[in-house]
Amino acid sequence: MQESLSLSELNQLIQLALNEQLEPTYWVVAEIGEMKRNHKGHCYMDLVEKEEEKIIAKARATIWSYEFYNISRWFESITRQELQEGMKILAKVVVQYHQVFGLSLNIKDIDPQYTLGERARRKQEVINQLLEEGVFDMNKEADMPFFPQRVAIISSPTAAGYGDFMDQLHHNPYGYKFHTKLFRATLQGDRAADSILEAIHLVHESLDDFDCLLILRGGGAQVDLDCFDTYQIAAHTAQFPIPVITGIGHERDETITDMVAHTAVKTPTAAAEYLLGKAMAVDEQLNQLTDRIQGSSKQIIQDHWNLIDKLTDRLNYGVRHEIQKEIHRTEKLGQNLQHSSRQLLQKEENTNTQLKHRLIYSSRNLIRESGQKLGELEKHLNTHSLLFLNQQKHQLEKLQQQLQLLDPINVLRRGYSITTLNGKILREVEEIRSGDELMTKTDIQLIKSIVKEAEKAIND
Amino acid sequence: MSKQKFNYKEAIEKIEGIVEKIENGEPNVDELSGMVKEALSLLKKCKAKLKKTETDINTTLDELE
Repeated sequence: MQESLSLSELNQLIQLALNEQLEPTYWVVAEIGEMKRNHKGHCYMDLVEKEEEKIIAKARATIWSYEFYNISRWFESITRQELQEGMKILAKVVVQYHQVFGLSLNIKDIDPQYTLGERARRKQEVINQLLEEGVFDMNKEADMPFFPQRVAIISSPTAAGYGDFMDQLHHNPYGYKFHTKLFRATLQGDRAADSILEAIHLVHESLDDFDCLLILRGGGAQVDLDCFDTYQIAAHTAQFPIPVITGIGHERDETITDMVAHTAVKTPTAAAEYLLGKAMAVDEQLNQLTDRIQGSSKQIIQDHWNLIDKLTDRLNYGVRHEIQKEIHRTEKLGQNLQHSSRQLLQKEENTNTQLKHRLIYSSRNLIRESGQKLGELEKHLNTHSLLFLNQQKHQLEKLQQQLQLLDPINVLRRGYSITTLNGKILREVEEIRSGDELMTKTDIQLIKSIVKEAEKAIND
Repeated sequence: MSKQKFNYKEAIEKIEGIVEKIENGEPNVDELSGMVKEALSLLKKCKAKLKKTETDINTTLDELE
């Protein structure tokens, strides 16, 4: 027969050993597994330790209701979150062993800073990973159309936010039309992350139908925001080909999904306003452009009317001016002609008059001079002619005398005779031969003779 | 003779040319009348074109309203 103990005895031993060996309290790091509160307010939970999803340690834990109130309030004030499953906490525990109920840890205190730090650390890890992969800013660079009209929405149809958003968007007072399609997802609970991812994939399949994706969550438990801090959802959002708008309704901290999304707004109303704002901007721009076109083209046309008027005026004025110039020119020419011809005539007249005068003067002069000259000549003539006449008379008389002397009759009277042969005087006859009959005339006689002999006389 | 399409810009340039010539006193009396006639004819066409353009634009802009 073995030595044996009763169960209670064994449990007592265990109890004693535990009491002896263990410190009164321990600060322990663990993850909250399942968590419940009973009607009295006591909190019962499992604390677990996981290594890559595999539970390697587990213990039951309790928080008594009167302590729970303080602990959870303090926890929430620091972390802004309720104690919830999946959270890693730093808890001060008392190891309790109950003979009937076994081992359990009674939580006396929880350090919210640890959880906060833990959360922040995990969050930063995800951010770092996204940065390292170079995808953090990718969605911000996605092309948001000027007027996004086709919107894919990931939301829950029962979420109040969804209803408000749809109402505001589709019944907007401006008459802008949008095309929205809802991709259902559960936004609460532990199925949230998977559901949202599924929806993201669905949207991705009909990407060409949409201009942007809107993830809409109207508000609710802080705890449900955690999925938006996970790598999966954040990474999908960051790398989504079309711009993502998040209207996740965080109260304080931005989730990582908010950070990587193209645009993050706080409420569904803000999301609707964002989209309407884009539409208004385009509308306004189109109006402005229309006005500018109108204004500019009116201006251009007006400028051309003005140009035409100006050209017409210039033409008018220019032509009149030219014609006036020509008129003046011809008038001037006319005047010049008149003037010049008058001048010329005048000159001619003057010349003529001058000439006339000169003529008159000269001719008078001439006449006078001639008269004078005539007078003188007359005088001369008189004087000289008398003289001349006398001279001539004398000469004549002399000549007469000479003539008388020379007159053959007188010559004859002086005793000379003329002998002729056949009527010709002897001087002229070449040969005289004996026997020729000569006639000799004297003053009173005419002698006929016959030649005896003739010989040439020598003149001494 | 091929019918040329009326070119507003060329017409305006021609008119300006004629006006400048007249203002510079270039044309003689023989040419003057012909040039003025041409300029007036072009001006008339330009006005018509401008009026038509104005009407077209106004109609189009009204449609936008």
